[in-house]
Amino acid sequence: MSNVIECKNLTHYYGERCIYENLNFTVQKGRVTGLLGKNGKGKNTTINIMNGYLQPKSGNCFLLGEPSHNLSPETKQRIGLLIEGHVQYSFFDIEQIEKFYSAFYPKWKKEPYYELMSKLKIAPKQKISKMSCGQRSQVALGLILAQDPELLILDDFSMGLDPGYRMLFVDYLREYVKAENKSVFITSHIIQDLEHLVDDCLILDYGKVLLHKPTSDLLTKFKRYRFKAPKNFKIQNEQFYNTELIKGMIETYSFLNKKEVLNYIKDLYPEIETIDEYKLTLEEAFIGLTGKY
Amino acid sequence: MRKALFYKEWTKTRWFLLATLACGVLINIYMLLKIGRSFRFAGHEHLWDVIVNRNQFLFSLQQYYPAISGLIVAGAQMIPEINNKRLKLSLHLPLKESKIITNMITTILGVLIIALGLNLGFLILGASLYFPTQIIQSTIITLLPWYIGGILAYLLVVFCCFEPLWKRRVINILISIALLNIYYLSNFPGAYSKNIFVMIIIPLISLLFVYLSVFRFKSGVQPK
Repeated sequence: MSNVIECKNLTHYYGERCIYENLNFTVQKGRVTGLLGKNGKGKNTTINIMNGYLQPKSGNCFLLGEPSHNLSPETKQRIGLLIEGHVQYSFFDIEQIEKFYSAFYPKWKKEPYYELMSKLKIAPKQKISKMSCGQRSQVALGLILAQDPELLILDDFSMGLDPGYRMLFVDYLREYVKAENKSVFITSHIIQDLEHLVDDCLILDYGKVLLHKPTSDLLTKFKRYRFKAPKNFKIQNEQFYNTELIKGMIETYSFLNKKEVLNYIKDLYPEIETIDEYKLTLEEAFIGLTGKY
Repeated sequence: MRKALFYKEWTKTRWFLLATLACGVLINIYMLLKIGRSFRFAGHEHLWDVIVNRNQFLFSLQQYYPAISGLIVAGAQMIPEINNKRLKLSLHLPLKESKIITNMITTILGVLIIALGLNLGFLILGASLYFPTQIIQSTIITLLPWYIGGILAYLLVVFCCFEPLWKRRVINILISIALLNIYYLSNFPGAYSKNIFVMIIIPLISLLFVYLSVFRFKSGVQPK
């Protein structure tokens, strides 16, 4: 399967502050990849490098085989871009903006755009500047769908949206992506929204890729474990994440199964006889991997 | 695609362009009526004395009009682009970035030049009803730097708006004020007659400044 995004040895600093060093990842064709990370861990930096609006200190990022900072017009036609906050040309109305963009994209399909607008009961002459944030998000999404790109880069699509609009966005996008076999690279502050959308999770932390796995693996294999805290409990094993003592109970996260965890703990602390296992949502798994703080 | 780009720029600026054009026409009408009135009440000899012996320029009211027009039109075009970094959308359009920027600038600059040209033409036409060719020539020479200043004002606003860093933008604004000030130092008739060439060269050079700002925006220049 070919790669639609390839980031090789990306290194970036803001002044003295290192965002990441030698970051490597790829996104395969036909996959929906979610970029997750806490604030300040390099999500925006990565998106900006990918969109070609930031030159990394070193390393390269390729979109559809071309360097992201120097995309040819033909490749730009194949990439749909959603800018954080669903920014669009707000001085246009619904019809004007459709007319404007249609001139640039040979595969332009206005039907999905107008279908979405009629679903939201937005009048064709309504100005974008006079719309709510939720309506603007649907305009931005509708335009990307009409563009019919191979690769969609969606930066923080959930920003400023209420739950209804977020769900509408996700539902519409999921249907479209699956039907048309598109590749998507998406970020969101609301991780829960991505749970039923993304095929792969890419988590950034401590200036590196902490995890890049299928979401299904994360949801089925990554668990929270709780057990009564033994005296002088200490655990030093890379297979356990964010181990904490909470009100006399130890809470830890791991990809190991319950039996493996119990055996490991019992070897260290024979008095521990049982542990509780909890299934996690994507958001809980993210917290389990990166910590609360 | 070129038509679509024009459509975008025109949608943003059309009312501002038309408003500045209308203001210019009104100013001209006012000045011409005032001159006509002076001819009637003060007499030809008096006006001749004012123009030739006292070196007073009768169209000084026009002095800042081109610069204000350039500032307004550039603001109408650029503020929506830099607001929420909408310029990213423009640069992602499937054309070469240099082509997109050149198209954005030349489109509105062209319309602005036409609007200022019409305004100047109207004034000269009106003035030629009252004055001989020599005075008309002197009027054009006096007005021309102010009109070129209008074009420069437009380019300098674009230069300042595209700059991604606020600190640098403030420096750019100061440089721009200093440059623009050169064009409005005097309203003495023919004050710039020996420097017209320099007055034309400055806007041409400032075009390069615009591309420098775009290059910095595209590189994602960040505060250190």
